[in-house]
Amino acid sequence: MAYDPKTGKGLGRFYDAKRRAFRFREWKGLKDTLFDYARWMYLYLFMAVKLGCRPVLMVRAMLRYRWLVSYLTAAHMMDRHTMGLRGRELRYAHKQFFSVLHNSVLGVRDIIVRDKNLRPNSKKAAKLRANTIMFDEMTPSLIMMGFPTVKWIDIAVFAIGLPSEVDQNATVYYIDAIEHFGLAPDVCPEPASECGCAIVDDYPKVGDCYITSSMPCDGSVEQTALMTRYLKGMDIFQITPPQRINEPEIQRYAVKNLKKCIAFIEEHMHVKWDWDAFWENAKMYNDTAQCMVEKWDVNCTDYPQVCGAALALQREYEFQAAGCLDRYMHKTDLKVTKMMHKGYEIDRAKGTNKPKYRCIVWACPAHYYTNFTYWTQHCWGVKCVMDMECMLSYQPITIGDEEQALLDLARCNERMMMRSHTNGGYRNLLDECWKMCEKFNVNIVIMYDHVSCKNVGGLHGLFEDQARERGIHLIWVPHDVMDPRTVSRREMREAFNQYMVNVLHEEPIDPTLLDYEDALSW
Amino acid sequence: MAWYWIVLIVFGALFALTFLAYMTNADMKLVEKLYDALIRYHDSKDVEEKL
Repeated sequence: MAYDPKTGKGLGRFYDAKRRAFRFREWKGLKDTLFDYARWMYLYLFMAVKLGCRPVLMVRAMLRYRWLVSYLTAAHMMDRHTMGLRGRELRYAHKQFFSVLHNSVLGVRDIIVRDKNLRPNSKKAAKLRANTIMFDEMTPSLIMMGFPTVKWIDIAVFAIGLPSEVDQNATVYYIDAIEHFGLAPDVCPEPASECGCAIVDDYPKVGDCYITSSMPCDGSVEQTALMTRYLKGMDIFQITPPQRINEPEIQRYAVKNLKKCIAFIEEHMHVKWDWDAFWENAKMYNDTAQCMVEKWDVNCTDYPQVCGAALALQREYEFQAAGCLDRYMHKTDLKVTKMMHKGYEIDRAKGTNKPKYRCIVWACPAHYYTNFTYWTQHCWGVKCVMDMECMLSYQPITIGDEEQALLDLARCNERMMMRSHTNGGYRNLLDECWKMCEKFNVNIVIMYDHVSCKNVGGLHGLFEDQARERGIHLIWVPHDVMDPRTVSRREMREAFNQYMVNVLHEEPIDPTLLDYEDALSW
Repeated sequence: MAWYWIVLIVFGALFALTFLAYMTNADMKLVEKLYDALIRYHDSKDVEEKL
């Protein structure tokens, strides 16, 4: 535990209301501090090797793109998520988060070398662009398993998704820009930020065609419409997976839709779908999905291992931003799963590391407060054993059977972020929540109340009624996904504090974390 | 002085310096200055909002 009752020193002392950076780093004991220091050095060395070899281009990119500035704070993101952790939990978190940063550093490098805005006259950049497809967020990037020679880059994730999780103020400017342009401020800040980025022309031009998707959500529909206008002149394919995903009869349509997307890529990139590469990549996907299932299984026991944001964010980026095609993430998955099994056996034998309270996290989380569940763990002893964000596709793709594999691939796409739960109807959002409570043996649900999400808002009353019937503590934590001005991190903490004090009559484990100002912090 | 002592002293000094920077969070404090300067630069740009 990081709090020392004798001295009264806790994790809250690292925050400074007038600064973005922490006052200093935490002393975690000799072994863990040296480990943390070594990881810190490794992160900087990795960034220096991969990005430092193009210093001029990097500086130009920083001056061209506002969102890129947020990537400078990568080490702070790591600190935010590892603060207060010790031993194995610290190691799991470092490995998981580093794999996300590894992927994003390489992604930034890939963007700057081929970006038309930065290198308008470069023939090399043009050649690279000719072999690159730009993807929107929430698109079925797994489809690229069958196109090993074509590069793809999810521009929305790199410009908006990841910066908003690294730096809480990263997308505020884009939200203001689109609202100034006329968009109503009650639209979800995620698509609003993506539109704002288009309005001020802050997307990199890294490919020659664009693949987007439909989403049964007002904000996303508007974002797709605006993006297609922004990218006028470019060939665009909008994949439209079925909106209801549980019924088997819709799968034929889903496969047909997928085949159209494959045909679009074949036609525009002058390549053919490669089944051999697909089988090889599908095996990697199956491995990563299996690792995820094993992490869930261990977290169902009394000795959960990989918890909180380390569980959720890594899977989210592995599946969504990397399309399960990142070999480093795959390797990390295998390593962490091995470490986790060992850790579980040790904890079980000794009966140690049992959480005081177990919880699951449900509904769309705040991008600007990804370490919220670490805060609940350190402040109140409420450990998050499952996060809805990592409950993405986990069923395997059948290897060797072409028709079945396409059906499996369609099902994977239906089980991506947002599509499977928050926009997947009440069976997937409401009923599944109670199933997960039972499976993970929890009676606390941190229910993220995304104030701009109409889909989840519509089920608010049903959640409350059914939680009461089941005796489940449903702790509503309001947020505005990418806009910390609507509901600040401090207000999110206060909502949780109120419940713990007034309903559970609990005392905080670390009182220094009860109330502090971090509006300026990254 | 033998060469290995020189190597050891150089590595020791490097370790001491980087560890000091790590513990005091000097890297992020420096990044904060850079971040603020870059954001100020982006704020000062005249950006046309168009589609």
